[in-house]
Amino acid sequence: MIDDLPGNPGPDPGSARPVSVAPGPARAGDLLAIALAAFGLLAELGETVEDEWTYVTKLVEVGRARLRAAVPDAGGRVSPERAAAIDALAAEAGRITDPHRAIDWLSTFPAVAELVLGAGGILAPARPPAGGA
Amino acid sequence: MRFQDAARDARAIVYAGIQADSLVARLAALAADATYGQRLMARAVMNGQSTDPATWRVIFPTVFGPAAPDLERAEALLAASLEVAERGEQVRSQFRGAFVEALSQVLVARRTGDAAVRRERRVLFDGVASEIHPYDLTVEKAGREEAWDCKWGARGINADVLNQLDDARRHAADEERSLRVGLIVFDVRTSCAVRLAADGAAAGNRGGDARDARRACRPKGGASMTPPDPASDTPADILRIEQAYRVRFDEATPDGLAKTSALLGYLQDVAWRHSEVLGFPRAWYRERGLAWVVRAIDVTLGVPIRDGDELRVSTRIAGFRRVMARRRSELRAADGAPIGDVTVDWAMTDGRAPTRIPGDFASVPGIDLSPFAPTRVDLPPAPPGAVEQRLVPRLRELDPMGHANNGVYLDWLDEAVAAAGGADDVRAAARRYRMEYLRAAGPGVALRSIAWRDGGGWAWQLVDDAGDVVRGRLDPASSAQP
Repeated sequence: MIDDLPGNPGPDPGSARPVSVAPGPARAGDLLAIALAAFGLLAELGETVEDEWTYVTKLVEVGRARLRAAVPDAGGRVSPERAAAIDALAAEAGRITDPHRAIDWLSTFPAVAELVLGAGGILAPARPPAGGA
Repeated sequence: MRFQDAARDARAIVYAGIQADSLVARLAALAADATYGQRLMARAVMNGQSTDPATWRVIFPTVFGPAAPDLERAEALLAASLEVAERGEQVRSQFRGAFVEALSQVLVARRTGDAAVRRERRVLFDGVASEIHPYDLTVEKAGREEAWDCKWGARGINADVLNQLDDARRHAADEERSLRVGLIVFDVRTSCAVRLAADGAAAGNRGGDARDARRACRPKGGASMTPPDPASDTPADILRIEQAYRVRFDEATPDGLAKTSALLGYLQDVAWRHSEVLGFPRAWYRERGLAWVVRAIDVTLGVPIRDGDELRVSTRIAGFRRVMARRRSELRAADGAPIGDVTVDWAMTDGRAPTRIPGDFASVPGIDLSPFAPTRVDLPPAPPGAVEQRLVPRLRELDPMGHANNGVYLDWLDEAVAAAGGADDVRAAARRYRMEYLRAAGPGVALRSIAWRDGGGWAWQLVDDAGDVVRGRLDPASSAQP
């Protein structure tokens, strides 16, 4: 379950393939889960470069925090264009097979996701009608 | 402090072609005025897998959407970045590096003016390059000199890079000059911070933490160090000593002649002995983290030296510079007949870079402090017909510093020249070697040993992926007697 995002993004990001969101406005939490999953795959790949293990580990830690910070409200809504962007970004990350390139992507990926989701990327969540006075 | 063009080795020539590619300049011009989002897009595309522009337009809605600023630039930058991405992996990497350098040049030139900014230049202090590789970018404006290294990603940051920059700054300060140094990294700021922290080289102390950690294994300087301590069996004349050596069976070639490298072994040994006589034993260097490395040799031999021959090898100090000292040696037969003479230029190093020779040496009474012009070996580019051999240093060729010993390079030169058709010249009794050691070759490094006929002698260069390691010449000696 990802309802309690951003504290718990759901499954171990490293163990899941990114899952596409359905067309249309999406929940920010769902997109965060996709981004974290894709980021986890990059991390797994990057960690195979033993000489860079320390750097990769720290980069992953900072990157995950950055991704979570980009989604302050998991219940927020995201436009179809931005949802498609995260989906495409995750797919692009999934195409990386070279561990060294993965390390480079660990640096780029959170910044791109932040660009997509930040600066008005997440709309206020739909709220129930206010009670009558 | 002065600046100098880097040597144009084969790698540099290939890379210069990439640097001159119009795509690099186009990318740099576009990126120089790009928004943050556009630059991030360019970085992702150049490092991405997809080469379909539509994919990237989807990934970057804030760069390509209807409300995006300067859409024309974004599209042009995307197109140029895809041109890089479509290259093979190695070429792509070179283009990315060249792009960062070109972008840096554009941005730095806006501050300093075009004329002051140069590429691929070495900084020399007292005639010695401050680091192995040239700096990607220098600003050569009197009183406002700068040296920059450019990196595609944060991963290019490491303690050595930082220390080399810092050393250049410190060397300049030693000469009472100011040199601004820095890294320009085309990556996300937080990744650079992570890299700096992970490397123990926190931003702000210019790699000092890493350097300090490296040096922690050394005792601290000061009064507790071993002072200069002349050996107990000091000869009457400490300024020149002589030792006897007998050419061992294993030091000779199949034709019974002494390997030239064996002679260099004697020269190193007698130099060590002389250092001890002067009061500088191995412990003195170890405690200070200092060592001598051979910078250049000039060896003239006049008569054949054979297995079992006894030689008398002398040494004396024949000059000083800020980080270098010169030794002269004479080789004589047991009966005193001259065999050859040798000049060796030594550079003092702290393990990473040339460093000033401590004043203790200059205080030895009577020592020759004359300045000297270091031996240089300048070679023309290797012609197409040059004979090339590939080699990797073997364990037995390494010395206690973990590098191929300077004598080993001489064997490699002999082998290369012989393979190129100069076997008789290698065996000639009267011959002259000049070698300039630019960098050390460590274990496992892939090297190319290239020899070719040049004038009346032979030119030789040893190169690795980063450029020249050693340059050398073998020429006939002008007479049978040195």
